[in-house]
Amino acid sequence: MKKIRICLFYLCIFTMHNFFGVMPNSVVDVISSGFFNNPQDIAITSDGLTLYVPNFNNNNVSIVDITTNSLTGIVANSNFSSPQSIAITPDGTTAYVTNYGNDSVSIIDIATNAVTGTIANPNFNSPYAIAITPNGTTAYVTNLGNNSVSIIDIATNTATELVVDVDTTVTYPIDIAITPDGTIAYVVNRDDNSVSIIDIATNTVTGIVAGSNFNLPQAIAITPNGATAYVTNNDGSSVSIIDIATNSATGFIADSNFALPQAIAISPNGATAYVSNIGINTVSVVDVNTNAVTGFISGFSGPLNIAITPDSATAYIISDGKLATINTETNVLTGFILTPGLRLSRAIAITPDDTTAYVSNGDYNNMSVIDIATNTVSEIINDSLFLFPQGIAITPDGTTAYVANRDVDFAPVRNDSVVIIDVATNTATGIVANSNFNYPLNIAITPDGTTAYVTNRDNNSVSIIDIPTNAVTGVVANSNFRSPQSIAITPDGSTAYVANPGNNSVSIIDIATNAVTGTIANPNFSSPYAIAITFDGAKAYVTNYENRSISIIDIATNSVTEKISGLPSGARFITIAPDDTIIYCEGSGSVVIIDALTNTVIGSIINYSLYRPLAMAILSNGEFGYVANYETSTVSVIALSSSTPTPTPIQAPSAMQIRVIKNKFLQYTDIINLVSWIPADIGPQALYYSVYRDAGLTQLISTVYAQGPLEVLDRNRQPNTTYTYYIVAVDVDGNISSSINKSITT
Amino acid sequence: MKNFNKKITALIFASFLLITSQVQALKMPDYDRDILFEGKAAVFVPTNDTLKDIYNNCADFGLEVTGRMFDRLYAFSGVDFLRKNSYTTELASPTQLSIVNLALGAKYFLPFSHGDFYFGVGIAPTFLCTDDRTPEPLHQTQWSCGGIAKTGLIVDLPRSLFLDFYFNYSFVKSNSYSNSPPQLQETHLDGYLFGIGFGYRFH
Repeated sequence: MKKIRICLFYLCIFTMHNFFGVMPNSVVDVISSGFFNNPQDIAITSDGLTLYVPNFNNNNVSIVDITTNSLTGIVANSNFSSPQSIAITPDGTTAYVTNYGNDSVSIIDIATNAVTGTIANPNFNSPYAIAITPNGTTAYVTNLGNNSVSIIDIATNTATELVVDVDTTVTYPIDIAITPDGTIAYVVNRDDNSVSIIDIATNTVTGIVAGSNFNLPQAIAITPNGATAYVTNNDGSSVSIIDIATNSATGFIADSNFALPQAIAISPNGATAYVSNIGINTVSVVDVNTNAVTGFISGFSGPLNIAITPDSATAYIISDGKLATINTETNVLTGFILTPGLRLSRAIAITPDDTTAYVSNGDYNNMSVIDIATNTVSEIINDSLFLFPQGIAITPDGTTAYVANRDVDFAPVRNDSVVIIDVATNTATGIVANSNFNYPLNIAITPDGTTAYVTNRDNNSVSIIDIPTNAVTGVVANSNFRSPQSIAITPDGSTAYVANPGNNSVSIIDIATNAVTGTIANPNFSSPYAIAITFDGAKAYVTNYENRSISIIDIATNSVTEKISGLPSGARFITIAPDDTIIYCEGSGSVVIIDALTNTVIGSIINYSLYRPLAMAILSNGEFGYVANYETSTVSVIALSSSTPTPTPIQAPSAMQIRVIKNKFLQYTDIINLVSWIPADIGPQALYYSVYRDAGLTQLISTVYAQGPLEVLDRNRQPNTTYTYYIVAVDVDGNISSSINKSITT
Repeated sequence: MKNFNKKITALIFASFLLITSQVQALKMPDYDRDILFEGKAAVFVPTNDTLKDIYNNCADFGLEVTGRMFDRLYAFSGVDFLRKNSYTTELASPTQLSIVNLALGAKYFLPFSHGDFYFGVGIAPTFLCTDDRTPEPLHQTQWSCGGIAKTGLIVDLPRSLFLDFYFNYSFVKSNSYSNSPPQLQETHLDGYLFGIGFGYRFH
């Protein structure tokens, strides 16, 4: 059976190779358990059973079971790119998701929760809001980039037409709603303080609704009886009322509790409208019959879009990247949907048989189990024994995992411990408790599997656990320990090295005697943080957090022999490839690749998911690395090369966006094109980007350093003129990438 | 900016001289002399969307002289000044608005036991100055002419003093050209003035 499992595993690895085409040192998969990450929109199926949330930062869509208010899965697809808005067909069979990042619309089959297609069309330009007609035949997509509305024929899933009336009636179309009788689509023109009226029969703009109270209108909702539309005024802190029969603004609702109102939703029974106030973190409750604000609900943080179940019983609101629920009968915030799985991941370890990875979710007191064959989160180990789980170590025989539990900072009574996990059953079977544990962070196990060493940051010691008895049998204490962080043991099991960021040193522990036999001090040490020893036992690599470097210790002489500089900020953690040829250093937004033969930085791995990566583990065959990312709550799967890679050329940036901003002064209007982009997923990091107005790259507009916001304001543009921008990335050696370009008409 | 302030001061003095000479020249022997000097403070409430979005309400200060011409028909002349710093709505670019509003016209007085009710119309030559940051400084000035309609209630106080509770509506339209790139944009300085004046009445 085990042989079959191993065969299956390697079959999967082989399949992954062929499927991804495996570019060395590139992220080939991102494991996410659906943790909401910058969610933008919510859509509920017509049967009221399921809710879908596009995650702008994770490029996937979370699926929530409404009956249990729990996250049940994700829809993942490589064509998702900054998914923004979602709409579901009235028959509940299909969902359409606008991809703001790559100008497309993804199609999700609700029955299988799989992406069945992607609609691409040259007219899509930063597609934003989407609405589907009540008869389910047509979807309308607003394009922020070219001030237009695209029309999708749902029968053929093709974008067929484009409603465009630049500058007069569609200006930064930020939201769209369709009347229940399917005759009119209303488009909110944020930058024109108006609402465009699209006649659905002819797909033409037949007029605009304007009123003095429109002020940076943001969102629109229509009552179920089709009589009235409500528009939030983000800057005016009010809600405008449109009489649909006359297509005129008949008034507005003002209330002292409106503060930067963002989204609006009307309950399907037509009784109540809910307005999210991002300015004061509340949701206002509006009586639709009287157009009066009857109260507000607090407890949110940055409330955004709202969706209400078909039975009008529950409202769901995006709040602080989570999904809040409101009981609409009592208008009380009833809770937040907690997503299981990877959450603020801190550490990762892989079993010796390469079948399973364990990830500690430090701030959520649980562990995720990743099935490496499928690269999915297969299980969550929830147990009250967990208390801010940090470092993980697995015994060489693969039977037991040990997880350091560090109690909260400044806890009056500390409950630090080490949790014991049975790998066969994925259960927490007990803890190792000892009064000497004090902010335990990292664990290392001797190659013979008999002893575990645990660094105690706050009492400057290392605890010794006897693995057969799971008891603390001793403590290594030494005056040279200062805030010990990381620990590594030589492959021969003779020596342990402990990094002391508190006094810029590395302590040497003789395993046979459990005594500190020496301390390595070197001027190059600057907050030494993580430590890793090569598999041949010849060198130890120590990251210096403060001066962004790596010190190399010759283990034979216990002296620092070399220093690798030029690491990015936040470079703290280090992992060595099984063949000792490559060193990986996890930085703030990338994984730096170091050639271990020449000890030089030869590239970096960049991917949206690699955001504050805190740990990396590599399969024993060295083909794939798994990186735990704290900020994105993901695990990036990186295809690694088994030998020194050829440096990849610098890649062009991606996801270029252009937005026309009309900065209106009293006597003139400054027309500005806001050009933005994101870094390439692969290749060396860019030092800076150059933005040009011509294909020959001669009309330089601006140079933008990679650390800053990746955007350029091109001011004083002519009205009704098409501009094309070209962006190239430039690396530290002056190598220039190919250019990307995009056009926009002002 | 110093030169601009000097220009405003000169304008105010010139207006006073003009008004005073007009009133002195009236000398209508058939009617009792009735000349009203007042200083005013008001809130300018713009009705134009652009003006309102950027600057919203502004404080306005002015001087006005009113003199009887025929029976209940009076001539008036005044000068108003307002200045406000604000930011554009889209990019929050700093901008400063300065307006000197001259007014010349006629009022019809309806006396009652303790004062007068009046309404009037006139022309409003207006000097507009904006200083914008785009982010480079951009200073633009222009003269244009509009109209003004006003109504108010004068309450007589002892010692020939009086209070004037007034409401004005003025409208001024002009075309502005931006420097770079050249674009035509209509500028409307339309709005209401709600204010109070305090003055001395020669009669």
